[in-house]
Amino acid sequence: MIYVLLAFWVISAILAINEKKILGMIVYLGVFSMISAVCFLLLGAPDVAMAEAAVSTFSTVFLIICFEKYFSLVTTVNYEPPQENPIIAKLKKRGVAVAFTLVICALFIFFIPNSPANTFVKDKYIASFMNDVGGENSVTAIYLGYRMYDTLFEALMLLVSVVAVTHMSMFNESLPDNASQLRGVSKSDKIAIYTVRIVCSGILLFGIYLIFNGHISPGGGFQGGVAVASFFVCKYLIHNIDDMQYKTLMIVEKLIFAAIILLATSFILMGIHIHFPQMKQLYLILMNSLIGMKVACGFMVIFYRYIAFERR
Amino acid sequence: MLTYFVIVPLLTAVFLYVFSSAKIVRIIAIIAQAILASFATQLFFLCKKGDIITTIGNYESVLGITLRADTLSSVFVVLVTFAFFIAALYSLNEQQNKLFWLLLFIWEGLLIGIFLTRDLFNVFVLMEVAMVVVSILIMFNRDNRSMYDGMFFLMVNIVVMQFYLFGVGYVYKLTGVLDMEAAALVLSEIDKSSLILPFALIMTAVGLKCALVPLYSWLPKAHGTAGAPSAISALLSGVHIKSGVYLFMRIIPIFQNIDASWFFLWAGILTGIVGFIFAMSQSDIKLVLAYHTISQIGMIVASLSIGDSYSYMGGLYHAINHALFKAALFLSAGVIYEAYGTRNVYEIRGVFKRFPLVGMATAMAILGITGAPLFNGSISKYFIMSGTNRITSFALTFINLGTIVSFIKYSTMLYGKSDFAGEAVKISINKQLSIFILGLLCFVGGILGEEFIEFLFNVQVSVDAAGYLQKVAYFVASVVVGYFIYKYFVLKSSLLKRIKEIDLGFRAICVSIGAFFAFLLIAAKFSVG
Amino acid sequence: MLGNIIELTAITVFFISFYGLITSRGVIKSIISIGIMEVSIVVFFLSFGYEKGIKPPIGQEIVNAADPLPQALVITAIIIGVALTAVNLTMLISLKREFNATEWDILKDRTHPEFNKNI
Repeated sequence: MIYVLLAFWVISAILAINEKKILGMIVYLGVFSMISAVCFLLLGAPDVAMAEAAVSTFSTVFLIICFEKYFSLVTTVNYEPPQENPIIAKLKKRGVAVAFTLVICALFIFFIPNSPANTFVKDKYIASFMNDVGGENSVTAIYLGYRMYDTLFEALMLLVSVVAVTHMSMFNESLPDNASQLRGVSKSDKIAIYTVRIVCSGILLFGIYLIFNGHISPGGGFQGGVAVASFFVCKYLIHNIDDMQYKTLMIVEKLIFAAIILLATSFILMGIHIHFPQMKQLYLILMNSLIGMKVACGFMVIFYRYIAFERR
Repeated sequence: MLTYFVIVPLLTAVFLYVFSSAKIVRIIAIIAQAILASFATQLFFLCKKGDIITTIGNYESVLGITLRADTLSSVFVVLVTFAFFIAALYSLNEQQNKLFWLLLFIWEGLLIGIFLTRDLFNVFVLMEVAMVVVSILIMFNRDNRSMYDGMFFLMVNIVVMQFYLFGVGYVYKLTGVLDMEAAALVLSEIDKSSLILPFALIMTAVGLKCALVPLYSWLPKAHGTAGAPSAISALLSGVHIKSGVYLFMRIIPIFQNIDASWFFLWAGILTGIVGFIFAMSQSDIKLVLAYHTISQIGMIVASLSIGDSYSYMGGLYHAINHALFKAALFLSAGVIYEAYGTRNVYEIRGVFKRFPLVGMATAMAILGITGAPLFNGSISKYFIMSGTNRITSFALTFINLGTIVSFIKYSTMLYGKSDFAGEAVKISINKQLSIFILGLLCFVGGILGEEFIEFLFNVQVSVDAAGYLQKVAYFVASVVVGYFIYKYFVLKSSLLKRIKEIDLGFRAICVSIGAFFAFLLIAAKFSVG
Repeated sequence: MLGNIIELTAITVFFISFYGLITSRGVIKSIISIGIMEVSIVVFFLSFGYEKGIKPPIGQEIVNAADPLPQALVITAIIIGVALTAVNLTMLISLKREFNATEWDILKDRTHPEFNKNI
């Protein structure tokens, strides 16, 4: 089963790379991500599969919005790159590139170490995570307990990328509001509106479920947060919310980040988890919901900035 | 305890952004920087008594993340906090935007984190976040060219961090741990030939972070871009690039069974030569300085790979000195641009006359970087030279000659008659002061060089008077030779004009990443046998 | 002996995306290639200790389970990856607005100092 999937996985990667049209590339990338999510599931990693599925929908949305902008912007290219004989140039370039990649790939494969995986830490983690951190999901236990320090920077990464997106998209203040923004479903399309309504409440419920059960079942703050954010994206599709208070959202996001740091510092770094072992469950739920809120805020801000790129 | 050095800047950043108004944010920021710097100094004094180890959450050490401060990392932490203090002082009334201060504090926390952490994956996360912060700061003014430069910087670094992550995966697979010390212990018992691949993957990333020869072309774009605030350029060239050098020093001991130091020695020397040749060809003062960073970092990497303890110490001291004089030069370049409205080195004249303080600091920094006697560069270059054999010493002298030639060109702008006719620009006192402090430190670091090294690294060193005098003679001779080269080659050559146009694009740098990786694999194979 | 098949597949996809990087004319193609590269590394991380019928490391009693640490690391890497994609795309849109081009070569020419002077 997994080998068949892996074959499809490789083929979709090749198709995505080989595609000429941008829209085709994006579609193949979506297919590729979905196949890889199923692969992760078969490799025994439901948390990763969920993260990949949630995240890849968002990156596809980002890419499609970008694509939409890309062609609706004024395209008057008054620059011609120097022309060669196109066929010869192409053959030359492709052949050389393929050969170069193959050589490096062959070198890489030649040097692969043949020792088996070392399971020293794995056994330790599995033996002690319930006692040390609590919960029943060892992956959550690792990223909220043993490696909380990494997770802080992961949250910081989202914060920084939100700053990057908002700072850089405030460009060319004088440009008028043109019609290039992505429109939602048209108001007359009743079937679409009802479908989205039914689906989006399900998505919200699923997201909240993931957040609150992250410590005992697959899922967690990130996956749930992305699901909650996608609820708001669905909302956008039927309501066309134009006056999004993204500045408030950004402030809220930063405050939640501060709260995450403070909670992590007080609980893990100062050692409350040693003195009050009964607090562990509460800590895991609190942390998961804080991270979920932060991720949802971050993704929403990015999404709305993409939608309303050239407007203040 | 060590985690607070990372967390406090991050929290300060968020609270400054959310709660303070744009007027007082600068005042609080500079006070916070001063407090951080003083705590970092405290940390340094504590570390002299012994290493400080913090295992986060008191979990068993291989399970959690370990932060560890020894003398080396605490010296770099002090350097980071000091440089950020100076940068904050410099941009005190230039930057009114709260976002700038938010990013500055986040960046500082991340850099301190890189210098303290001992976890391979944690380094990856910190590096990725730092990359995005840097690229935002580069394009902070949204100048059209700096947009491209920031994007180029970000994309190249993302690609190479994928190689790093792959290497970390192999290290984990082989050892079962991510901690550097534990991994080094396990890897020393493993069959040598299985270390080659992770070594090459990780060192490709580190090589790009240090801007070694085929992988350098992102650096002048990022550090020398015209639109970036000059405090940011100073910090990039001063301390951010040192995170690559620091990683180099930490990663090499993990793979102690692979002795590929000859590869990095020659890669460093080649980088030094290429760097100064490009620097000679440029006329934009920021680009000249950026290419010089490449040259000096190449020299530092070479000196760390010579395999002699004196040279190693000299390389370390040179890394610190480089932070001082390069920051001074970038900041003064910012002031000069503000006053003259041009970055062309041939159009700026008479800096000494118009801004005596800035001119003096620039002169001191130039003397430092060229290794003039009594300045800090001479001490570090003396120690670097003491471990070399005939060939490497010739190569390093050659690099120094090139540095002198291009700085003769750079220093022509200090003298001469200014034909600047516009309105007189007043440079605020805090800018002049911050530049002057850095320039003065270049001089102090030269006079008290031995004491500094002993104080910083607990190593007793002594400068042999006869050897030092010989170096002085070399310096004088190379200044004379350099002047003639400048007069008869640099000003007239058409070759340099052609070199100036060489600029690797994104695809070319991806190809060179692959080529560097392949070379490194083969080099490691040869060293293992 | 050459590792197991999953690892080799991951390496193959890694180099397919590397090929995409070295042949990409447009910035969008580079961004997509980087996305594929990230996923290939995820598969590589999950292949450690893979056996047939492996179970997720969740539950009261864990037997024959996958290694939880790479999974935790990889979740971090995935979130970082999507954040970077968002940043890259924003930069791309801004560049497009400013220079009216999304190809590396044209961007390189247009950001050249001489080119700006001529305008």
